[in-house]
Amino acid sequence: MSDATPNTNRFAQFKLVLLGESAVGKSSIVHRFVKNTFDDMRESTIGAAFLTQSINLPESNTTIKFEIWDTAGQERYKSLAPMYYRNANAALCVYDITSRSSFNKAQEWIKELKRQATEGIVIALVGNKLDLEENREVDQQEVEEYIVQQSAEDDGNQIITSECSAKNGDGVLDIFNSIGRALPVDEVINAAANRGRPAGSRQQGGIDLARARRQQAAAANSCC
Amino acid sequence: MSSNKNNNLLFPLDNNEEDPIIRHTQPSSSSASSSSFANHITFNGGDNLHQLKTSQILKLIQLKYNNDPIELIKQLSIDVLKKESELIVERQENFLYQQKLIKLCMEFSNLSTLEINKRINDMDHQLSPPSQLNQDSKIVQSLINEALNDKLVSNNNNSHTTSSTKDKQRVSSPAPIQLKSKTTTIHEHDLLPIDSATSSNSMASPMASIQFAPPPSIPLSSSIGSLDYYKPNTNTLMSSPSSSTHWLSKWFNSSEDLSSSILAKKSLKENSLNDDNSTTIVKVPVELESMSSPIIPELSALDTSVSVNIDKYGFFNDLNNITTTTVTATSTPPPQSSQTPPQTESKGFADSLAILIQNKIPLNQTINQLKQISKNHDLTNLQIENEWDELIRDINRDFYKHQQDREEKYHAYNFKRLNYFTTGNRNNDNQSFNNLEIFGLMGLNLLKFDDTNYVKLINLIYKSGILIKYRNLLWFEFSNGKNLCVNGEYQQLINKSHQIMQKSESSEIDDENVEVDDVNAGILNNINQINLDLHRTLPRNYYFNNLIELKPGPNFYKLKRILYSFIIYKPEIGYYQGMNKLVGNLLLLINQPTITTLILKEEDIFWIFIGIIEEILPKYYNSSLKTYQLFYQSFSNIQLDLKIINHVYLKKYIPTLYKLFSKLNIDVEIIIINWWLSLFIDLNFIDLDLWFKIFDILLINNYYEIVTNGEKTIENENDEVNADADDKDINNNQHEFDIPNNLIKFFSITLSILKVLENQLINLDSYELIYKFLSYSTYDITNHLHTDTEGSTNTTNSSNTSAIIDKFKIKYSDLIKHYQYFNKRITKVDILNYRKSLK
Repeated sequence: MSDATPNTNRFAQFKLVLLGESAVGKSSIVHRFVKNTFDDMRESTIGAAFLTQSINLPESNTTIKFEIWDTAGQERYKSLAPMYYRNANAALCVYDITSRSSFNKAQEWIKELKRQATEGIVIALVGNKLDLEENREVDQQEVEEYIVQQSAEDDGNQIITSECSAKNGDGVLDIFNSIGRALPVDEVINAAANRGRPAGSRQQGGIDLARARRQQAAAANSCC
Repeated sequence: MSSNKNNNLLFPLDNNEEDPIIRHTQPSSSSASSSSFANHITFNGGDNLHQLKTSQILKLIQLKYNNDPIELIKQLSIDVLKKESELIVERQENFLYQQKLIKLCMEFSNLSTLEINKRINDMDHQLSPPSQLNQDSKIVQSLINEALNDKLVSNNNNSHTTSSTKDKQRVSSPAPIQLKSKTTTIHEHDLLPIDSATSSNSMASPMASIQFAPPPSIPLSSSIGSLDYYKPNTNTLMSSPSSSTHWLSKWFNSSEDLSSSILAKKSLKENSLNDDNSTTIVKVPVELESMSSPIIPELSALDTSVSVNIDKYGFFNDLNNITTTTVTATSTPPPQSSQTPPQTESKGFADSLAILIQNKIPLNQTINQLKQISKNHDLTNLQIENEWDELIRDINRDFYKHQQDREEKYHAYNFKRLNYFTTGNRNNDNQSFNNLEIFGLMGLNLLKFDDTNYVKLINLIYKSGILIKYRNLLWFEFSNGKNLCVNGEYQQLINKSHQIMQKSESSEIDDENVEVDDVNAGILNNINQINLDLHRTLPRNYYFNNLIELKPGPNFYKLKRILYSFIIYKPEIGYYQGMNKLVGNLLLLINQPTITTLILKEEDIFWIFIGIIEEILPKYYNSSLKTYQLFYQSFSNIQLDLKIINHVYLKKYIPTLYKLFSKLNIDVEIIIINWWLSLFIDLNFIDLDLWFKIFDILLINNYYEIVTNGEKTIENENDEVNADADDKDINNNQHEFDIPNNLIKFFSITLSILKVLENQLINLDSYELIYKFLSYSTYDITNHLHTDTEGSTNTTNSSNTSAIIDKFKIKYSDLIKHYQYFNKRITKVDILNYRKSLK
C-alpha cells in the first residue's frame, strides 16, 4: 500500500478540519461523506468529533484517507479551533447558502487559516444546503468575486469553492475528491519512502508540506 | 342487628338510590369494616346461596330479613360490592408491589418501564387466565422462559439457519413449562429492542460467570389487571366475583383493540420510521408509572400512543440503528447441535446460555440458576434501597431533632442571635420545614450536627450512586438550586425574555437599524444560538421530540424557556453550546420516578442548572481581574490543566497509557477537552445512568477533603521539598490557592475513566480507533467502526469492534474505585505548582 511507484495503488493519509458557523451543516456534510446518510436528528457538536473516510483517486491510482475533525460552530468556542487545525492538511470552511452571516464567518475562518494554520493547507470554501435554493442569500457570483479578490491578495494559493447539499448528497463527494487532488500526495509518499516508513501514518501528514505548495496550486486548478 | 351493622358499612342498606358505580369507586379502605361485617352474618351472600333449597332461602329471608326478599337482594348486592372493593384493595396492593418492582428494575437494570410492561402484557396474553394463587410464580417462570427463548428465537432469526425450528424444539423440549415463544408468536420487531437491552446489560459480565442477572429474569408479580383500579368498569359490578378474571381479560381485549386501532393510524405516519408497525399489532406497553403519578401529565401521553420502543429516559430505541446493529453483530447463532463450532468471540448472555446448553446442563437447571440470580439481584437492589430509605429517614429525623433543640434554645437564649444563625429557619415554624435545606449545598449542611450521616451518605453514593427516587430531592439541594430559588423570579425572567423577543421582532419590522443596546444585542445573539440548538438537543427523546405525533415534546419548550431565562439571568456569561445538553439531561430528571414529596418542576430544574453552573462546575481564579471566572469562561485555564493531567498525572499513574499515547502520537488533551466541555455527556463509554452517577459525585462534597484535609496537606508538604519558595507565594495568594474541590473531581473523574478503559485501549493499539472511541461523538460509533475497519487497513476486524464497544461501557463500580484512588492523590498544592511550572 505504501509503494511509491506510480503504477501500483498508493496510500496517503491527511488531516482535515471542518470550520464554520453553527448549524451550517458541518457534521451533516461529514456524515454524508463518511456514511452516505443524512440524519434529521443530528445533535449539535461540542468540542469536536473525530472520523475517518477514504477516497480513491483513480487517475493517480491513489487511496487517500481523511482524518476528519468536525468542530463545534459556536463563536464562543473559537479559541479552541487552533487545537484542531494545528497540523491540518486541509480545511473545509462551510457556510450555509441561505445565510449571509455564515458566509462572512467562513471568510473569517479562511483569513485565520491563512494566517495561522500550516503553510500550504488546502482550503475549501463550501456552501451547504443547496437543496434550499429558493432561500439562497449567497450567490455563486459573490463567491467567485471573493475568490478572485483573495487570489489577488494572496500569492496564488487557490481556494477550492463548491456548493453541496448534505441532505440529498449533491456535491459532497466532489468536495473531498477535489481536496484529495489538491493535496500533495506525491510529496508525502516520497517523503515517507525516503524515510523508510509507511506513508500516511499521521506523522507524515503535516510534514514537509511547504514544498508542496506549487504542486498543490497546480492541482487545485483542475477541480471545481 | 343488621341495621346496626349497616351503619358501619360504607354502603348502607337503606341508601339504595345511590349509584352503585360511584360507591364502587370510593376509597377502598372499607375493606376492614366490611370484613368485620362479614363475620357477623351467617354466610356471605352470593357465595353459596344458589346451593340452598328454596325453602331454606325462604327461611333465611324470614329469619334474617324480616320476610323482605328485597333486603336479601340488597344484602347480596352489598356482598358483591364488598368483594369488589376487596378485590380493588388487592389489586391496588398488587399494583403498588408491581410498581415497586418496576422501579427496582428501572433503577438497577437497563429495562425501561415500557419494556417491562410489554413483557408482562405479552405474558398475560400468552397465559390462560391465571389463577390468583400461582399467577406470580407463573409470571416469574415465563419471564425466565421468555428471556431464554427471546435469545434463541432472535438468534435463529439472525442466522437464518434452516434447522432453526428443529433447534428450537430441541432446546426447549426439556423445559418443564410451556415455552411460549416457541410458537413463533414473537415478532422480530419485539425482539430486537429487548435483545439490545439484555445484551447490553449482560455484555459487561464475563461469560463464564453469570454474575449479573439479565433484566428479563427479574421476577415481576401481579398482573397488569391492577390497572383496572384506575379505570372503573361497569362490568365489574354486574359480574360475580368468580367471573372477575373474565372481565379482566375482557378489559385487556378491549384495550388491545384500542391499541391496534391507534396503531393502525399511527403506523401510517410511522411507516418510514418503523416498517414493522404496519404489519404487526404490538401490544401497548402501558406506562404504569405515569398512571400512578398524575403530577406528570405529559407522561400519560405514552399510555395509548406508544408503540415504538422507548426506554426509561424516553429515548426512542427503534429509530436508533446502533442497538440493532450491535445485537446482530454480537449475538451468536442458535445453540445448534455439535456440528456447529462454538462461537468464541462473542460474550453475550446468549452465549453463556448457549454454552450452558452445549454443556448439556438441563434447561430447567439453567432456569433455576437464573431464578437464583434474579433473586440475588433483587435482594441486592432491595438492600441498597433499604439503606437509602434508612439513611434518608435518619437524616430527616436528626434534622428535625436538631430543629427542635434549636427551638428550645431559641426560646431559652438569645432570640436574635440564633435567628441570625439559623437563616434557613426564618419562621421557626414547622410548616416552613419544606423550605428548609436539610442537606444544603453539596450536602454540607449535614456536617452542622455531626458527620455520621454525612459519611454514610457519601459511602452510599460511592456504592450505588444516588437512588433514582431520591435524586431529585438531593440534587435540588446539593446543587444549591433550592437555596437560589426565589419565588417568582423564574417567571419574571421568562417574561423578560418574551419582552426582549417582542421588542426585537417589532424593531426588525419597523427598521433594521433601530439601535439595540449592547446587553440586549448580546441576548439576542444568544437566543439565536439557542434556537439553533433546541432542535439539536436530545432529538431522539420522546420528551424533546415527539416522533409519534411529529411535534416537539414538552421538554423542548422547557429547555427553551430555561435557556432563555439563563441568558437573561446571567447575561455576562451567556449561552455556551453544551449547556443545552446539560439542561436536557437535567430535564430528564422530571420524568424519572421519584418520591412524591419532591417532584421537580421546570423552575426547579432552572435553579439546579444555575447552581451547577455557579457552584458545581470548577471555577478559575483570574488574577488580573481579581475574581473567579466560571467554567465556561476559562477555556485557556482548562487547556492548561489538561496539560497537567496528561503530562503529570497520566504519566505518573497510568504510565502504560501515557506511553501508548506518545507512541501513537495521540493528543489526549484534545480528547479530554471534549469530555470537559460536554460535561461527560454523550461519550461513547458513558451511558445516561452513569452520567447521572458521575454528577452525583460532583454534587456531593468530598469526604476526604473534609475529614483528611489537614492530613493531606502535611503529606504534600513533605513531598514537595523544593516547593518551599512557592509555598510563600501560595500563602500570600489565598485566592489562587483555593482551587475548587470540583476541579480535583474533574481531574479524578477524567483519570479514572482513562484508568477503567486502560486495558481496552491498550488492546486497540490504533491511533484512529482510540480517537474514535475517546473523542466525543454524535455519530454512531458502531457503524463507523464497521465501515472503517472493513474498508481500510485497520488491524481490528469488524466482529471485534462491537464487542469492544460494549467493553467500553464503563461500570460505576469500576469508575468509583479509581476515582477514590485518584481523588486522594491529587492535591491543590500539586496542581498549583504544576500550573506555575507550565506557565
